[in-house]
Amino acid sequence: MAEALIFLLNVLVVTYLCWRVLRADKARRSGKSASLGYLAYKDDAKR
Amino acid sequence: MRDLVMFGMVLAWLPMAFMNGFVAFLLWIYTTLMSPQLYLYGFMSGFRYVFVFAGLALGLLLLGRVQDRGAFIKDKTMVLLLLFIAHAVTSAAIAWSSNPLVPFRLEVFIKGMALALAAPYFLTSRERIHVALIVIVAGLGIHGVLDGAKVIASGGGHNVRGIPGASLGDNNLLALGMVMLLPLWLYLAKYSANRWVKWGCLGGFALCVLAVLGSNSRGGFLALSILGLWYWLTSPRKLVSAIFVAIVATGVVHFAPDRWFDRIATIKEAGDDQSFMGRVAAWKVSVNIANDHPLFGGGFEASQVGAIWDQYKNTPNFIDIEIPSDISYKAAHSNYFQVMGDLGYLGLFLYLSLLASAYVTRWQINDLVKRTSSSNTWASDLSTAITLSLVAYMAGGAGVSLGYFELVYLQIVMLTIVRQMLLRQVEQDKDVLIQASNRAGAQRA
Repeated sequence: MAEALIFLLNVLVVTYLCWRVLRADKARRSGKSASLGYLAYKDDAKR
Repeated sequence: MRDLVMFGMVLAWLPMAFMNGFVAFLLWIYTTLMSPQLYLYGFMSGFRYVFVFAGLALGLLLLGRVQDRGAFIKDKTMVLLLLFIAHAVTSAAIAWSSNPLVPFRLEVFIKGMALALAAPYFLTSRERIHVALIVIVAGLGIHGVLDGAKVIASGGGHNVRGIPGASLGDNNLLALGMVMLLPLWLYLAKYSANRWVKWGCLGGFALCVLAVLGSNSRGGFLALSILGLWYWLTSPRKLVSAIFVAIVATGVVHFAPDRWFDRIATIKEAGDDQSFMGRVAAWKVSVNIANDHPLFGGGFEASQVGAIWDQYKNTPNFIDIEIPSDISYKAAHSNYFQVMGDLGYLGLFLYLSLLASAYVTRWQINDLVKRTSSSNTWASDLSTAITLSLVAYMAGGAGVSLGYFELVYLQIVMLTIVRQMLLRQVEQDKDVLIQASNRAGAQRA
């Protein structure tokens, strides 16, 4: 059961990521700001 | 149930991949590293995930339908990669006629190399590289996360066995793959904006360490130790990195089951160990194959062919052992001896040059980061994470046959892409400076 849930979570994360990439590319094309949502990266971490 | 979920996911993925070539490329990476069919038992287990998404990505690329498409990078690393591929294909073509493993292994090799060669066309920005890293840890990391969770649930009793039918087919290979992922988990934890994602990455890191412990792999332990040492040596903040390594080491000592300590203790008695002696026998055979065919070797997995093994097992060389009759043909059990036996000394030279080029690229990236006007610490940190992953691969790979692991070549190409991005930035900075000085000159005049 736990294995199935982790598997499901994994494919859902990748699906979410693909959807955000698609959305961000569309937004960029129409000149709007684009973000990857929860999976966005942050600017350089300070050393 | 899983098959129905997967069916739904594929229905969602396909239109997204059609609409955006980069999404197709991401799904190509993901399905290559995850091998979803191995987790399915019904009608979706026969679906050719990699074939479909690789076909879509390459098809869209050839049709010019990839947005922000990159170009092939003409530098030493890519030339070396092309030479290595050409050499391996030639070796396969003229390989031993009695080596029946060549056609299958060649197909797997070409699929892995196609992924690496396609990367420069798709990974054209920092965002895309970040996304690709998430897909890499999601695709490969799921194996470690699942096994790590089982190690916890069983109180250390779970035996990690690897993923049959995939690149990481046994416990040693899986352990090495998981050690290679550790620096990437840490990079993503550092650079993910969302707090939950950060903690998720640290959780993935911990579960992958547990999966390595659950594998009872001595090679995995060695790779983990060398990775920790190298991480500390190359870290600019020695105290923080020492504390981090100490926390992980304490966790390992605390959580590892007794049988793991027993297994690791056998490293000292490797000379009396049948399993280790089998490896030495395979190394001896690989050296003999390369001595006889120095340019092109015996073809993929040559030491696993009974006829080839029998022909070379008794020829003396610098590995001075008598191979017992009960040890028969087996995998080379070392990346270096594997490539040597399969592709000859020339192939080994290209392979080692390719690995060495990754370290040169890392050095160049660090130099370029200092020369760019904007902050590019991420590039420096990413190059460190990838080279750490390659250190683990080179150390652990001394005892397992993972010479053609697609992730290694993809990471080497990713370093080249980052270097290229920084070079472009340096050029742009120069142009801006020249324009500014021209304007200032014109105003003075």
